[in-house]
Amino acid sequence: MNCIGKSQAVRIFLYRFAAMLLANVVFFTFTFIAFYRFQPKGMAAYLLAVLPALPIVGVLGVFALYLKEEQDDFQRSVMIQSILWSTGLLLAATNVWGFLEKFLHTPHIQMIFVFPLFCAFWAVVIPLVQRRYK
Amino acid sequence: MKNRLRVLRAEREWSQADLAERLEVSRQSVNAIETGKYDPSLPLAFKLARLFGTTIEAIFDDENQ
Repeated sequence: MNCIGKSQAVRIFLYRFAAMLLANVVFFTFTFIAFYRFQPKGMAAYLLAVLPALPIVGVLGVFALYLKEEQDDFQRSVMIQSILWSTGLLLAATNVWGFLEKFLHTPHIQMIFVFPLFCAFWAVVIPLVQRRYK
Repeated sequence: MKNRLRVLRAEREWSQADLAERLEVSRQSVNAIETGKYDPSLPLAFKLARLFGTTIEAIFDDENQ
């Protein structure tokens, strides 16, 4: 993440982001195993499904905190642009894939992979946005 | 926005990293401002003006004027 600078805000952001990703992986795995093993129904199933989404909400909070704490306007601008671009790419990609699934019967991608896809887009987009200013 | 940042910096023999440290921003920020690819916020523009002992208008050239 050298590409977005090394300010204190970036360091804190990276720690928080890593913590949320770790929580997401742990909750994701736990939820997967719990659904297969216990096959919960009703309210328990809903609550279990919500569990891995909590760190995703947390990631949005981590982004918001970074934008609040970062004193460097330029780095803040890079972060905002990268979030917007990766969100746009995600929406476009899922939309395109949705049509392909419906009319060309391409393999179904489960929605639980949308967040990892967002992270992948974001990781690719940040250096590209940074590159614009070199 | 065009600016005289590179000249002012060169006069003082500061590197981009030196200026970035004085402004408490990243070196990438200084580079982006110098190359006119990014316009600084008003507080940062004031900070630059104070640092170089001049006015904002003396550093930045508003081409639309």
